[in-house]
Amino acid sequence: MRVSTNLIHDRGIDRIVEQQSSLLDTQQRLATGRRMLTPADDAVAASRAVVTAQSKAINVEHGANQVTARESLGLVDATLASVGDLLQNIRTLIVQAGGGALTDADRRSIADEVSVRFDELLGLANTRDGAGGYLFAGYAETIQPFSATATGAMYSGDDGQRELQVGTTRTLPVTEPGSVVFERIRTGNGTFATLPAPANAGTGVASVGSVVDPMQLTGDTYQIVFRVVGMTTTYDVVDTTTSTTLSAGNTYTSGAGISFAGMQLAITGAPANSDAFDVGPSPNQSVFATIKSAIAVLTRASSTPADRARLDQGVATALANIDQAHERVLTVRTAVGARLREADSLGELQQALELHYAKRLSELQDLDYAKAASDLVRQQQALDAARESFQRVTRLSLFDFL
Amino acid sequence: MSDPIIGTGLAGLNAAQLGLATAGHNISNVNTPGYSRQETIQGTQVPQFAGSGFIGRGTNVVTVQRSYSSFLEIQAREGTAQAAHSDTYLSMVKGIDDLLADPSAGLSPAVDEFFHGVNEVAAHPGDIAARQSLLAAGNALAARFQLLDSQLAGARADVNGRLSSGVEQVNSIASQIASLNERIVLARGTGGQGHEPNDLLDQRDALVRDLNKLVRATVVPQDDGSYNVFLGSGQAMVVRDRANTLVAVRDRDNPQDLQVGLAAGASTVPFRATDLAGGEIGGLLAFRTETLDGVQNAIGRIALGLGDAFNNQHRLGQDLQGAPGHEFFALAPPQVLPSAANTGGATLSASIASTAALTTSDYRVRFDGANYAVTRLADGSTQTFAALPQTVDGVMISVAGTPAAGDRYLVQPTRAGARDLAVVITETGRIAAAAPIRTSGAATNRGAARISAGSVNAPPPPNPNLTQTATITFTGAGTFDVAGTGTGNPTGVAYVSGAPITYNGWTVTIDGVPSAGDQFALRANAAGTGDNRNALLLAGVQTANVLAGGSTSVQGAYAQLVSEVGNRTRAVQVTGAAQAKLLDETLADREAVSGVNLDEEAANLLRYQQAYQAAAKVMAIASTLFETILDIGR
Repeated sequence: MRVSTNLIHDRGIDRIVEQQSSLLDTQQRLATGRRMLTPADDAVAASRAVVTAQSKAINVEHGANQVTARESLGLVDATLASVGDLLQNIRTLIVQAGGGALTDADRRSIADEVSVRFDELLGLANTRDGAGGYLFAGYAETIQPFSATATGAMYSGDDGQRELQVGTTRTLPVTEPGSVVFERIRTGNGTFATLPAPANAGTGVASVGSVVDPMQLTGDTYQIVFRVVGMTTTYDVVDTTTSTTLSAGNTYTSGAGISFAGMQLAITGAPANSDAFDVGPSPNQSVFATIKSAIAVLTRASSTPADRARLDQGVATALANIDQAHERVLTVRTAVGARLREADSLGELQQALELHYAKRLSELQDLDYAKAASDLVRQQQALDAARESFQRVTRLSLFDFL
Repeated sequence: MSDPIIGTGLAGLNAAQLGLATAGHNISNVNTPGYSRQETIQGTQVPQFAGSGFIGRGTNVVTVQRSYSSFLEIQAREGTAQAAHSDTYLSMVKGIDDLLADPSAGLSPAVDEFFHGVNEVAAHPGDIAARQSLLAAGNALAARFQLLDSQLAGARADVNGRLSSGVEQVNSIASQIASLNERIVLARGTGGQGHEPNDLLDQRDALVRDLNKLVRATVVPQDDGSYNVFLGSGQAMVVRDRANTLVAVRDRDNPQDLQVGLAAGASTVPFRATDLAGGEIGGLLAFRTETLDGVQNAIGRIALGLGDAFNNQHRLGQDLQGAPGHEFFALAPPQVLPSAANTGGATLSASIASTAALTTSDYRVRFDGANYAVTRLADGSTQTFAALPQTVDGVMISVAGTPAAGDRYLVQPTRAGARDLAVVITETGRIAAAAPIRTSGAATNRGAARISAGSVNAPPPPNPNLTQTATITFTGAGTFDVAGTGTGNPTGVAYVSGAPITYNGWTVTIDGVPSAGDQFALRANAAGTGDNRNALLLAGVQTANVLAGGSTSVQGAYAQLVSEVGNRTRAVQVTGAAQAKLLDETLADREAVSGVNLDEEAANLLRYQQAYQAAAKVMAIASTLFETILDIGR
């Protein structure tokens, strides 16, 4: 083929420019550490990288939410631990107050101490979180949830429970509303409660009792009515909901079990004629009402045996109700603890995913340095060769010999 | 006779001189673009008959010829047009390609940052700082959309500018070709006595190739030596010594874009974009219709999809002041551009009926006097309606007044979507992180049933009775009554644990076994500053499939766009590289025929120098012979 002088120059320059261009490209890749400089270099990988980067960003959000969840749940857990300790403390005081050797004045001073504990409990129920919101107010976190009243405390919050997105499909509740923690606690043994009639004149004191056969529970209210004829004490059991008498004339023995409708309880002491005990499904009561009524029981005088029986009955009821409140705190703490553990294990998953996404992104985007470095050397050599040969080829001219 | 010898020598001398001059011409034009190597064609003179036969009378130069292949020239023109097309396309599309997936300037980081803000509000719904950062992130997201759109609008302006200057260059080249035509015809006819004016021909061929760099032009050589040049599908640009004028004018149907047309008197005959393939102008037009329009629409659709889904959820929420949520983003309505040629008095308007149904295409609405034909420009599919309003691909098109037959409108549903996205909320308190309702169980409930937090039914606007207090009272373990304004107070509704219960635009579920008399209430979420339920749902918009008929998320649509533009760029790169290679080969072939080789010319110089010296020697000998005869007489 005939070769024109211009072709030799143009081709030579073109090749050198091409080599320089690919050298620059490799240098850019090495400098940025990116395999793709633009999506055109690998459109599929670029589009996958966009999606993977979002998954990674969302995973980071979940991680941040897990941290927030752990903080919030940790605060709830710590507060509930204090509440539990406080309830134990109050229980000890009430047990102490139930001791027979104490005078009314001794009991009143114990009642004063329980009062102080009550304020302390109210303070815990009004705990604020790090951002200044009330921890147990539900959604209404700017409103103080509990304020003391004569008979307990009034709840101004709501039932809201804040949740956080801690996984792709998992939201974790991170607060507990005060209504669940401190209110709506079943009294008595949690199923039924026994209350002496206010006019009782004897010394009968009812135990908390227990459920012996859940299948027989009816939800009706019953009354145990005593008849004392001479030295003989008998009792009738009446279903006051249906106004039917279940049994009549049963012989009373102090401390012996009385069973009906799947429930069993014992009454100790000597009930007077027409003394009655109401047995019905446990109503809901707040822990504050429980403590307030315990304080009321402790401050009452106990001069007569009947007063003493009332005191004993009040202490027994208060202890049962405080146990229920404590049980509630433990239940909530268990749930919170389970969520804390879940947040921890989700944290591990989150870190594993973080690593996975980072690896995936790296596979999609990052440069193989060894290959790029060797490419650079190879292209450098090619460029040198192109320059050298260009110089030699263009130096040849017949005019040098003319 | 010494006469013929001197004449023969003189002829050789002349021929060698012409040969030297031509070689010199070649050498001096070695770097002239478009120059074709020339050579002298020598022939013998007509011989003289003498008794002993025909005696040669030396040589003469028949003509000076250029080494030229019209086949290679045509190939070079075509290759130039194709390579310029790809080059231009690539230079334009590369800008978009670089922009989209840039780790800092692309859309993804802004979207991630925005939803990070939403998550912060979900984690701390009452925190003003978190809300402030969400507003800032929202504004940054809108600004990013605007930035992307402004880059694309810049590319559009660039296309318009380059079209204008390209058209001017075409006109200048066309008039030069026309004037060369005139000179060539003149040179061949009168002064040249049929010889070719090689250098003028070279100049003209170079101009035709320059013209092909701008737009594909076909050449029809005429018998008189002039070139007729045609563009597109046969529109004459140059006819002999007359050049027509190309103009860049505003598209009558779409005033945003410049269109190329041929001036015909006072009016303009526009080219169809597909007719003007090839060259820089063809590349610009192809880039605009194939890539730019689609990308700008796609970015706009992403903005609309994100904004609309976010707005819809936001409107179902409740802000810090307890008021219902409003729009978070301001969204651009579809653009409607009436054709400048319309004669009717009708106003066409369009609104978005469903963001999920939107495509990335523009639409043309044409009224033929009886029916409205709505054409999706991306694939040309047409739907015909006797009356408007009608909804096509999520866009509701309506008309006020009566259009004239032949009136046309361009509807761009998503073109302004990215440009006009803005955050309308300015107060942190207006972010609707809470739900407007809350549920509770009565303090006296004995059963084990629990009510869920409740949710507001989509789509907005919410039911007007949404926040009316409603109570659900169980009349037994299996039935309940509902009471409250708007519920219709149904009684004896069957209870299924965990089944949704829906009244007044809210939905709750109750799980577990209730006791007779248990009560659950649903009421306005007064003071719910710590409620983050709506914020959680807003965060879910990030991964919700809100586009393309509910098949892809915002980020998914963006990834698809990145992939499309990446693939398009790659394809243009590959095609461009192949065309450049082909053009390279063609030009090499052309150089092989027409190019100047300096070594060859050096050899020619030697050759003609020696011929000159030898011819001079012939004359010297003839002169000596003559002297000899004279000496005899002395």
